[in-house]
Amino acid sequence: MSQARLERMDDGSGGGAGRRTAEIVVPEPQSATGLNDEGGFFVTRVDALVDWGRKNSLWPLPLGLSCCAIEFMATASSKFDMARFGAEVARFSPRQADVLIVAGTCTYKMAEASRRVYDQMAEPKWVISMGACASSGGMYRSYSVVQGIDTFLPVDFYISGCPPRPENVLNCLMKLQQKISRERPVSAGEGGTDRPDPAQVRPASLPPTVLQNAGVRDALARAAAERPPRP
Amino acid sequence: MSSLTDQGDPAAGAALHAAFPEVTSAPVVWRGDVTLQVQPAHEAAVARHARDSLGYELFIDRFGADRGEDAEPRFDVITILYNLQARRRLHLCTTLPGLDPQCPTLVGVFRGADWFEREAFDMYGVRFTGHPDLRRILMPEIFPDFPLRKEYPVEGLGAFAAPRRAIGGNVDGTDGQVAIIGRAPGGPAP
Repeated sequence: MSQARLERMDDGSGGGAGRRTAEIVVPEPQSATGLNDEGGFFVTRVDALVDWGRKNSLWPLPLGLSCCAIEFMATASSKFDMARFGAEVARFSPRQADVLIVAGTCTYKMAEASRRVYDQMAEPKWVISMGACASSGGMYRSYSVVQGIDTFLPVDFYISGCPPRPENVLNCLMKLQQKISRERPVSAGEGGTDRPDPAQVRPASLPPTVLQNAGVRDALARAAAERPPRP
Repeated sequence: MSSLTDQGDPAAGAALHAAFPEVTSAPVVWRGDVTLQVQPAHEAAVARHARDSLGYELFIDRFGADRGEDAEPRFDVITILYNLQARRRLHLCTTLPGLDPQCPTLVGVFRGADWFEREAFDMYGVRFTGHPDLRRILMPEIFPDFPLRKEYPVEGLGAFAAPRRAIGGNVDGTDGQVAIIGRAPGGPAP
């Protein structure tokens, strides 16, 4: 057995009692040539195998809402080359995407569409908030701009900058890869991820859309009651 | 003549005023542009005459303006038409009261006025009677206010109010809350 290959597949957390392990055994070929002297099988945890596959094929959905999208294009194209991290396959179809990159200023009207895009993505999915506007509203402290997409999306990573440099986006991708490699999707299910259980989170603090949130509705009703009647 | 602000045609304005002397004002020339005040109820007829008889066939723009809470009449709805042959521009302006501003639609004359009137409705609350589909166009449907009215704060009101997130105080000098950056998803709201 190749020790080197084993270490590469493992996530380095050392395993532990109670974790389900699996062996992938490849029958040793009839090696008349002696080419397969290293051994015909390796052992890893399925968790590590799944994480390894996931983190090296992160297909992003670039939700380009304003100028950050231009910087994302630079990140994806040849000079900075996001393909080095397996994330070059930008998918504009939510069903085929793994990581939602919200790049730009999110208005209330766009928030509904953004949330719908997120809901349509298949698990597992991650969210990156790219730039100051998406993270906090940025310089738009305004009636029309959502003050941070974390009010209606479970954000995994925030990228600072206005707009962020492509290196910063790549750094965030690598951080996301590290985060994914810590997850235990097989042995612990959804509980093995850093993310909260979607089934628990969504009804409470993540409304289907930011505008149909019960809290927002109540606040609207209160504001309407306090306001003098409009002509 | 080559500058952008020198495209009015006082003769055309005078002709339009002569055709509708009761419902339009005399043309006003300001910085090269000709503006006619038009009574709202007759704006469609005036625009149709400008289109059919004076050659102002291209609908450029239609937008609202707010003179302020205390002004009366408070709102303006300004329409810009263009004569492609003569390369001349014409402004039509109707003034509306601050209380329930209503104005007949121009969609029957220029179909392109549709979305422009929706925007004026969305931002100022001007109701265009006869409009085929008068909904908000920029703000979400449940938005309760008309945000370009003078009294509406840019930070928003009610559910759409932007929280104070400035570190060390707000722009106006009042105390702000320290922004909580990178809080966990589903965590307590700042």
